[in-house]
Amino acid sequence: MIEVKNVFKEFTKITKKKKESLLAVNDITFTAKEGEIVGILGPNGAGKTTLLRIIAGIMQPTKGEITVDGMNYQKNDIAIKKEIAFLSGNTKLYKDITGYELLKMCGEYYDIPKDNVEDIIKEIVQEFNLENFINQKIGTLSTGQNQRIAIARCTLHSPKYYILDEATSGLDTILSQIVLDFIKKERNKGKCILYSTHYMEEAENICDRVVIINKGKIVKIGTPEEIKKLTKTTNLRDAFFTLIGGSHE
Amino acid sequence: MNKNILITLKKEIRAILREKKSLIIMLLTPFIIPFYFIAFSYIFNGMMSEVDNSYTDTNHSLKYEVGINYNLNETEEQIINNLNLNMVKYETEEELKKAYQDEEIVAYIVYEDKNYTIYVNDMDDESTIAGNLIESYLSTYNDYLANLYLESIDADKDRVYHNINYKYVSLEGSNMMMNTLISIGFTFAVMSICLTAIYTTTDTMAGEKERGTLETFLTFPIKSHEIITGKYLAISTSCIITSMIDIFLIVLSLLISYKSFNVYKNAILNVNGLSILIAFIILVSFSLFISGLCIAISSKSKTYKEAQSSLTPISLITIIPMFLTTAGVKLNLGMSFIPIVNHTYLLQDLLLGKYNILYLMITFITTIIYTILIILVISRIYKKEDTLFQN
Repeated sequence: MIEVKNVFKEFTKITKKKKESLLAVNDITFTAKEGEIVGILGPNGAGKTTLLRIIAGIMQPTKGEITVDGMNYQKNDIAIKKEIAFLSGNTKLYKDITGYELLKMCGEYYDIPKDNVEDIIKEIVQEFNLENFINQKIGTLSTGQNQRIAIARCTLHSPKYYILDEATSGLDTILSQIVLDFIKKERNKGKCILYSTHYMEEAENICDRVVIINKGKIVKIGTPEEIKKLTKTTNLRDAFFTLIGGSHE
Repeated sequence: MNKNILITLKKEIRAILREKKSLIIMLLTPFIIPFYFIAFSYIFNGMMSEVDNSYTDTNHSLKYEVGINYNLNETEEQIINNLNLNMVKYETEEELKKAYQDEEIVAYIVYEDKNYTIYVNDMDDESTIAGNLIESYLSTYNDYLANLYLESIDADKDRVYHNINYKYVSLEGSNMMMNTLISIGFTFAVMSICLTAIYTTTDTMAGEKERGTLETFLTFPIKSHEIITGKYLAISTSCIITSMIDIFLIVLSLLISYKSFNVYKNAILNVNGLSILIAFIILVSFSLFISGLCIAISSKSKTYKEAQSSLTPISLITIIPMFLTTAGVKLNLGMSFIPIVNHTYLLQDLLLGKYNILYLMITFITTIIYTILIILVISRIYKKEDTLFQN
């Protein structure tokens, strides 16, 4: 289980004239359990990416604590990272290596025994239909092929937790569906997925619970049904705008 | 070695070898050294031969035209015949001046009241050489007259001319041309290592941020100090490869130039297994230092452009030792604490066989200290989020 406890993140910008502080994440607390997809929803600049980076161990919180299966980053950062896969819409892969080389390198970082890594790569290649381009340099692949390699990379070490930040952002309908199918499949295997998006329909379809945040603060946590009922709306998009006090027109 | 550092090192080396620009800089820039050595030696050898011929070759078709306002006697004519001069008689000093201005003559001599005055233009090579030849002619003629006098009074000429015996031995065992050659050669070597460090650092550090691959890297189960150490070792390895090519090409070019060109006939070279090994160790220590320095300087850069701008001044600093050598400044205790300067000086002194063991030790020890400090600093910097993230 991932537990986010009273997490704060403050950024400081020092200019010639003054020192500005920005509270990107403001006292966020929630949990995510195995076998559920938790959507992190919010407008641009709400603090979603910062929050997910903190949970993935890429950034340090200014205050508060993240625990994964009872372990925290101060003492067990490597053990936690071995249980997590992080995929972001901004994440890019190394262009000068082949998909196979990337997967093999990831296998080495995640301590997968050499004898097993070849078998695992074979399984992944079949599962994600990578046969035709796995030995091509990543820089020569299409966006869709890149995304499939990126997802394959995440599954290599069989993580318990997936942290997906705007993973469908900028993808066409078919590619988005590949990502969404993957998420559902992993949830059915009992994995926990933290999924940030600003596509409300997408979140309504796949999330078991959603955490709506705005200006770094949690506005509401609940299942899509609970949130719609609370806001007396018929879809998550309307519920979202009701909660953050904006208009979608 | 730590497993994660080794994987990162392999990853970065592979990236460097597949990046054409870094690869070209790493492998090909040292090849400027043999071209420079041969071209420099050829030009200076030609220049020196021309000067030598001007003084000694009496069959030279082009003689230096010199104006005089007096008649030469038979002895003077004999002396002049052995030099590369052609004397032209004019009546007055005014005529001599006009002939010089009209470029009929390159220098002239005015004889008045038993005094010879030589007029030459020091800004002009031909006039300067003619001036030297005139001095030689007058000195020889003066000696001839002295001899005549000594004979007339039946004096012992040896008591006048040979009271003492001496011979000339060059203590440095080198010549100016060889010093210059080696100085510029090692400046190129140090510069090529710097360029390798700059290009590989730019790609390895800022390139990773600009391409957006750093975020992927940070999610791996790896500590930030393991990432930076792997990157540092990859950049250092590239620089050491450049160093190996540099030292091989310098020694080869030096030996070929030394044997093929007369201009280095007085030079003594200290090229042996030990000197080559020490030179290589100096270049390796320099590589380790400069790799860390480049990472430290470019650590805050988010793009290739920013990194290139911040690192370019380093390559300019490498030419400072060359200017100091040209100005006649020698390595001293204070300078042996200054990186880049001490490395370049020691390398050139080493191959000329005149290095100071104290300065050598100071250079090694300070380089190790500076490198450790830089690695500690970059390990700390690389943990900071403003270093790692674009926004």
